[in-house]
Amino acid sequence: MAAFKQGGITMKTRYKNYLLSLAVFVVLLIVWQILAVSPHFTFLFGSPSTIFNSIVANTVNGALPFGMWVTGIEALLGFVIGIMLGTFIGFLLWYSKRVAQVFRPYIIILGAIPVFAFAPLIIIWFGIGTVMKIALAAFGVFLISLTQAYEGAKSIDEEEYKLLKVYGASRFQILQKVIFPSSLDWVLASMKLNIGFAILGAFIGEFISSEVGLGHFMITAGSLYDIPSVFAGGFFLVLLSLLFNWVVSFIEKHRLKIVEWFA
Amino acid sequence: MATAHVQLDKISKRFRLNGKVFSVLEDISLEANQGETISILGRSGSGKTTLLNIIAGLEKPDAGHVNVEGNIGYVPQKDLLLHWRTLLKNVLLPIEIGRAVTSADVVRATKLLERMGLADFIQSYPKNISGGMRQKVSLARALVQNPDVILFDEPFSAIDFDTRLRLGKEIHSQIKNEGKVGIFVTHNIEEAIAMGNKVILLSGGKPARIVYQAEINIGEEFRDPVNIRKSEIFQRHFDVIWQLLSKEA
Repeated sequence: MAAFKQGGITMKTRYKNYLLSLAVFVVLLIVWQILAVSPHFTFLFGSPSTIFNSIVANTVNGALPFGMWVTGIEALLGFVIGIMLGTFIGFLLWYSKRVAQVFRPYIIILGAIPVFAFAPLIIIWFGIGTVMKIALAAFGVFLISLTQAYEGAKSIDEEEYKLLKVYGASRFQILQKVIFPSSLDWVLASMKLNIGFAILGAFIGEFISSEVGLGHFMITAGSLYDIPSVFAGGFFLVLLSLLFNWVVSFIEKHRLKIVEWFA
Repeated sequence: MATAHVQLDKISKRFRLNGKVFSVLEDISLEANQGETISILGRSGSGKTTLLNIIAGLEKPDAGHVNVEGNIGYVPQKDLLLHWRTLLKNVLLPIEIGRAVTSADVVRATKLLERMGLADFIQSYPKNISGGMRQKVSLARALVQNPDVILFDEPFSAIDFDTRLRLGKEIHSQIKNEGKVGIFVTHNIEEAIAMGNKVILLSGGKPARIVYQAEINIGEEFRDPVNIRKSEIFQRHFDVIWQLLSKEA
């Protein structure tokens, strides 16, 4: 009997690949731990055991969970604001072809500039508090959301557009009934892409100036050459990213309900 | 309800592509009165859909006059069901665009779906039904507003043979009995004759012109989808159209 296949790969092969990934990680940890006998290596890279100890100690004393909470809130707010604003303007560009034509060169220029290069400006506009971190995260997310929403809106089936026009639909109704639901996959894809940018924005904000957050934790640890704590902070950043990913996957799973509610 | 009527008078349509002007339709005139179905036949790319778009008001002719009386229902070639809406909600879409949906609308849409044999799938999503069933939903969507004029753009291309025969008959009788106008675009000669009170054949060249126009004077008792194909009138029209198409090939 043929083995059960999913995505062209048998389940057996899939499990084998998972085990292989895990084996690579375990081997890496062992090699790392062995190399850590050298004090020079430990100074630069720490060791798995010291990183583990730092994770445990900083979790018990609350430093890392609190840092994750602060960075998470900044990134989340920036993420939501950036996604909403970018998606709204992306749809607006579809709504008015003239506006799209006028703003197209500016969007291309903005897209070509690394967004975090605007950090000095954002500090001037928003200060050095929490709002600045949220703004940086939002700014990092905004452009990709805009482009994805606009491209998603443009990708609508011409025949669907025609059908709604025959029924006398206004451009807004087409946006509501067809464009929004059919480009939701694009928006969700942009959300997945933007998780990293939102966290990076908040992190850079904390890097510039902060008293709390994972960025602050890692900078402080770095300045004290406490390499295991820097890695421990990085580990919590990964956890934060996974949490965001889980939330986006949850939304993706229930997108039909969102669409039914809106359209 | 308005008196359904469609009249095209010397319609011409040109398109501009890469700086060149292409003439698509030239001097097209037709008239469909209440209770009539006009079948428009032609090869792929002959401008049938452009003609339908002009009747639907989606495109403006460069010359000639269009007069459509009554509201329009449209059955596209692809079913164009929105995959995030249930079958019932897909059928209700045209109403939703014009005004708030009432319970009477829901009853009407449900009855239409039941008539199409889809009673068990009303709350299902399009991905869960077959291509033929989807096309029936598309038809129900066109009928839900009780349109005076129904435009069909090769609506049966994805449907199995016996379903298209039955649906064809049902559509023809509905248009006749309810005093609507049907404009039926197809490249299937048999279907065009069986469905239409009039058949119009567009030439394959650019621009497309009407090369054949005939009234199909078959008694309603012979409108049975199988019997009509046995009738002498059917054979005669079929032969003429087939010869004209063969000449062009």
